[in-house]
Amino acid sequence: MALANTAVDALLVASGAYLATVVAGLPPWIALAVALGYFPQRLRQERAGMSYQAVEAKTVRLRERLSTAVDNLSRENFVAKELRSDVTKDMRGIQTGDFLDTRRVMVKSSIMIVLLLCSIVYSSFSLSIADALAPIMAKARGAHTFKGLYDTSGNVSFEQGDEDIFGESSMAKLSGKSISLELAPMATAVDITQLNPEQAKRFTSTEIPQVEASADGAYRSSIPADQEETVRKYFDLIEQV
Amino acid sequence: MAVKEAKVVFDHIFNELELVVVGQRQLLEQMLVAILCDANALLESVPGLAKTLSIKTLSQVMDLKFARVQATPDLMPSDITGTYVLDEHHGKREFTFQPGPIFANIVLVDEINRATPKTQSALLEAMQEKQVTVLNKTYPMEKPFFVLATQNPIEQEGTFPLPEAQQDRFLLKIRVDYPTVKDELEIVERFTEKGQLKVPKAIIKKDTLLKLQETAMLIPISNDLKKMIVNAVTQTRKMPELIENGASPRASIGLVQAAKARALIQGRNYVSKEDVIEMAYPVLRHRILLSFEAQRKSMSPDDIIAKIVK
Repeated sequence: MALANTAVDALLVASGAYLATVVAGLPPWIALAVALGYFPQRLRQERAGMSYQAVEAKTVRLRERLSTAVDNLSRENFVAKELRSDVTKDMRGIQTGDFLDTRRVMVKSSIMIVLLLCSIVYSSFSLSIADALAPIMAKARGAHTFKGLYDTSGNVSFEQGDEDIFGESSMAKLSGKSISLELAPMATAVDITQLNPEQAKRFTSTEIPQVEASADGAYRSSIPADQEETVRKYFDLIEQV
Repeated sequence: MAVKEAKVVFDHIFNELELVVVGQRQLLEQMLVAILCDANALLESVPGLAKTLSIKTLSQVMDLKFARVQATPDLMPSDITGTYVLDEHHGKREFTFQPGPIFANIVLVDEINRATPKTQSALLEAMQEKQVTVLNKTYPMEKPFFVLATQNPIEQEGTFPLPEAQQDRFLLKIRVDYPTVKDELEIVERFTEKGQLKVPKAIIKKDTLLKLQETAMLIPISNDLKKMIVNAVTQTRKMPELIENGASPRASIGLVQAAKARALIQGRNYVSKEDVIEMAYPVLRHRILLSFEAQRKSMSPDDIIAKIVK
């Protein structure tokens, strides 16, 4: 009975731990480790709790008789022996099911099912609390998401180096080089090197040209050949972010 | 004697008693408890509630010698214990001891509070020591020996109430109530119509009773119940607002013994909490002295005992 109760409790702990690993983005084997660590300790507690008082409390026909028999073990008179004999006979009739608290097992099973459902739902929506909390955690640490754009005192500056604007090492080296980029959005052509003071702009719509583009054409039409790879990887990284 | 066999014996005893005594099951049970504990009981009731009939019938069912003493203010100690009388036998004169009514197995002392303190002391000494000393010679009582002393709670003029220290020597103080209407109808039928009264027959002998007394004291009791009993008795000493004087350790011993005896009568080979609660009332009610505050609130000892055990 102690083993069965401990197994149910360990499964409950495993379910809770699994939900926690899913939410925290940790590997699931941690949940298994927690449950395995919990199991022997709980089993020890359950076994220690199976005292004769617990047996007496669960079995109506043994109420008062079992504790009286235990307290008078040293007495050898015929009445005490008769009591011990009766109690032993009744204890043989006790079944494991007498100690099963079905209500408690039902409650624990229900909680287990709810926890597992929560884990499934959480996984299916690909939510990540870790990622949502990352900006807050970074700010708490004094770090900044966009490394290189702000320094720790909040002043805008550009930290030159070989890392990109997210602080990750990048193929793009921004120091000492100028990259001429010509962005070609669909309907208009914007040359960022030719910035004029603000003026009223008259936009004319043009027909959307038929574009027969290939991947090579989209990336490499206006980019110098030796920088095409760099720019492609840069856009790949941005897409990942 | 095994407990199951004892239960059968007690069932027969009660069946035989109930042929004569209607209702009063609690009185009969508590008298049996006192006998099994080899102790004595004080019975408080108004006249006409079958006190004498109950104890006399019990002595017949147990085949024991019965004696009755009517206590009056002029009753002398020697009237109870016996005395030496000058006897002439074969032409010789000598003093011989004439045992008093106390030399019976069951003695009923009616209205003990009417006897003088000196006579009460002689009786109480016999009860305690189970022997009588007359002129430096000691005469032991025959076993079993049980004294049932009665008191009338309503007529207290000209009485010598037993002091609390003396009341403490009685294991139980049994309170007898009026019978129910149904029981009283049965009483009227039995005692007013010819041929309705039955003569009880002896169920057990003296030896059997002595074995039952031994068995009763062997009934095991759990440590939790012993603690409960001691806590209840000590609690009577910790309620100064309601109890002026609490019960002594003699009450703890008495309650354990009484609970064991009741368990045997109920056919159990262990003492149950129910036995302790049932016996707490007759064991404790004469051992606690109510304070003025309790009397002012019209509380009875039973009310206070109920608070303690529940």
